[in-house]
Amino acid sequence: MTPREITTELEWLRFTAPEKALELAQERAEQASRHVLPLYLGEWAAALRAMGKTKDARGVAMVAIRAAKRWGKPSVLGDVIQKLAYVEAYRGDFGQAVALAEKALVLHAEDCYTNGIGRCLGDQGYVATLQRDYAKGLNFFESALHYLDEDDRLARFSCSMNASFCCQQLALEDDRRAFLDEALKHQEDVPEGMLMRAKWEEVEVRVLEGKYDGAAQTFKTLASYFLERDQIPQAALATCELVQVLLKQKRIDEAFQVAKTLAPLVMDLSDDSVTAAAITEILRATGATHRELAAAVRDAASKIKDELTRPPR
Amino acid sequence: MTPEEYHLRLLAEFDRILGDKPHGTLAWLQREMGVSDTYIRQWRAQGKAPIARLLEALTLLNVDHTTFLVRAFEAKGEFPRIEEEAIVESPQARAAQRIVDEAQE
Repeated sequence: MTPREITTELEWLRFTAPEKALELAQERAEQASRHVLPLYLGEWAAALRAMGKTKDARGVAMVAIRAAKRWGKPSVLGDVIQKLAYVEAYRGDFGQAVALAEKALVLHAEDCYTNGIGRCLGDQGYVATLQRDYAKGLNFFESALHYLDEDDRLARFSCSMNASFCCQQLALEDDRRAFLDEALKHQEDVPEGMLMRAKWEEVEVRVLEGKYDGAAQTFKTLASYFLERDQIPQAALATCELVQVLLKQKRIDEAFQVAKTLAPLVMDLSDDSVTAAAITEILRATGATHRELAAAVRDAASKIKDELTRPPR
Repeated sequence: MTPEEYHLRLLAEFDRILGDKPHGTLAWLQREMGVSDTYIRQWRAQGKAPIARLLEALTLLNVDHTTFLVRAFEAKGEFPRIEEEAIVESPQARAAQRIVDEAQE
């Protein structure tokens, strides 16, 4: 079995409930035979990273690497090195992250594990995107899609979505749409959080094309989804997009009402957060004309988006 | 030339090429290892990253690339050496290490 086949279930769980993924990875590691133990330790580290515990994640990843060097085949070592690469990327050490991903890639090549090569290229694209080098990121994602197995839907979806995002940043609108369509082919097979990202991307593309049907409803759904999960900046950004769509559709009163619903969100944010400042400006504009509201919302959306895509420090 | 000598020569060449000429790798593969123009054109058309193109070439030529590449990159300092003994102190890491120690016994 390939590393992916062994860890798919845990990987899925990590996207939806990292705490449960951690528990299950620990349980599996306790029972695992030596040759697959490093993979479960790697998932353990990845779950910790997803929970924001990077120091712990780094420690467990190092243990996983030592075990893989002792018992694993090259692609198993490659898989756990990738986990460490991700931790380093989250710590903001991009140079180390890329070097580790390249090392993992060579190890996957040794086992002729092409899907692992694809995933490593995807990781490098992700690091380039974090560094805001979108042309480089796009190049990596395109390469990754060439190597990834057709049935590795999670990775194909993720690479296509990231490629679409890079195209957006590079103003390549046709390519953006093409990558988005590729990602949406796999929408039945990805966790809900990833699907929401695709829905967001899709509605944004439709709005850019001047197709407003259903856009307001989709942004409402997105705002509720993120609000329920306490992801306040994302919820605020979806609400900003909703207000902009309503204004474009000349649903002025509704736009003002929706803008005012942002007020309670400020309570959940620190005083100096970018989102709190942006929302305050919008609330100020709800006492002004619809043109001023449109300008405030546009400005706020741009600031929140910038904050959300800022590389980790 | 013994396989070991050949390996060392590849290592030295690769090190030199990647050292200052990031775009020279393909030309070297063409010149020294006989990779055809057709392949080079295909790789370029596919827009693959240089490392992926190189790996394909090595696979094609049946070169043992793990040892070769890892050593070359490590020698150049491109790859981090992951130290066997590096320990990151954390309760989670200790719990993981305990499982590894038990598996060892």
